[in-house]
Amino acid sequence: MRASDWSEGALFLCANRTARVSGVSAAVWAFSVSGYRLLYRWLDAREGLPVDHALVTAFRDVVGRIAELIDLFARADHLLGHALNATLSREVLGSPKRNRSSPMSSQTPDLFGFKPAQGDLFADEPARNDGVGVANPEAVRARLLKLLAEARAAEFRPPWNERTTRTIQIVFPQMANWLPHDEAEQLRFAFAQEMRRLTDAA
Amino acid sequence: MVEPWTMFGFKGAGIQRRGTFCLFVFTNRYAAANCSLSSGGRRRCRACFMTVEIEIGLVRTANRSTKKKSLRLDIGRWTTDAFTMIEHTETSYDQNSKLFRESTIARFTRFLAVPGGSGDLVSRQDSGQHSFRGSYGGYAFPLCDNRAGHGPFNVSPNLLAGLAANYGAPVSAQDTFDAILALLSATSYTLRFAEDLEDVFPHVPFPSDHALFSKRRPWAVKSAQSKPSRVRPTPRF
Repeated sequence: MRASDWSEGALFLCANRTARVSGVSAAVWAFSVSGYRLLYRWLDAREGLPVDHALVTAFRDVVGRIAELIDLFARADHLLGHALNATLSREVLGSPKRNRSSPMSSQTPDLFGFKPAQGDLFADEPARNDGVGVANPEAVRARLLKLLAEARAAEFRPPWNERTTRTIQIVFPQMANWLPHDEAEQLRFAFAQEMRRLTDAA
Repeated sequence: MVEPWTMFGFKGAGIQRRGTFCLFVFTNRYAAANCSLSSGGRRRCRACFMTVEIEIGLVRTANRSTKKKSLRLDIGRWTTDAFTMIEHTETSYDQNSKLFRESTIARFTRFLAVPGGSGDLVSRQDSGQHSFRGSYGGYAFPLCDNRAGHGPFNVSPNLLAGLAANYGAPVSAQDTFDAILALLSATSYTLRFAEDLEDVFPHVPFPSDHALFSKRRPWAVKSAQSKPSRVRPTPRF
């Protein structure tokens, strides 16, 4: 095997210009990681191997994977764009604020004596976890009531900045899911009413 | 300017550091294409993200300043001795070895890697295995953590609880991992925050909307045997 250069969606796998492969888009051919073209290097690394069924199958799968990745990246862009509209801040998530002057927490080195530069964001918490997060309804209730009280206390406009307001408007109804249905409905209604009042006042 | 989003929620940060060579070996021959790596337009951009299912485990390598044992990998015509390993050669990925047992990563786990420099994807000629070289430092965040007293998941319970409270539904470590991967896979992320990524760790903008958080499903890594689902292979022979 000695692959030729890609030209208009096709290339030859064999040196004698046989085993023509077509349908490889320019985007797939140009797909690169850290500046290295993936497909080119894949072929280059296999130079001299027989072009058999296994190789052709593998090549087809790699091409398919790359095409899939390109598609996924595009969807990721879309997703990120929407996510950036209203994000959960550290404060909303209940994480302590970062101390910018000393980003490192007092974390013990790991098995290899490595002390990460990132620091442990959630120091002093139990080490083990079962990998599923659930919320405490009491804490949720307290936070919802606090948000509602803040909204009620405001006179002309929401008491939060624009970004936080957007986030809270999305999060409030979701958080209420942790409460009994009737109570949740009531809180959602009261909050929506307050937000309408504040929007009208502004 | 870095916005105050939540940073990685992984407990215990990376397992690699500047000055340490690390070699991840995969028996999954599609690993290279599976690696959701993205890199920005800048040469020194720190942000490359990848997730893979590894079958062999992490082979932790020696620090540059400590005991060195050169490993030669034939990569096509390109031979490199850049990798160093502790008391192992490239063919001795023995699962019963001390090195493997002490590895923080178990078999069939997934991790997110953030190389400090260029992340090179190279392939071995003979078997189609792929490896990832995170030279110039970098970090790897395994989803699972098998160290005694840790885990089984490497995601902070506080973060999961925080997300669950805001989303009004239980949130699993797996979901969170997929969401982080999905968000960081966006090319626009690396381009938009290229300046910040030079200096600080990636910040993860978790969306407020639970529906958006749940859309990360396509990023759930497929098993080694799976075939591409949404986009079919296109070449014709």
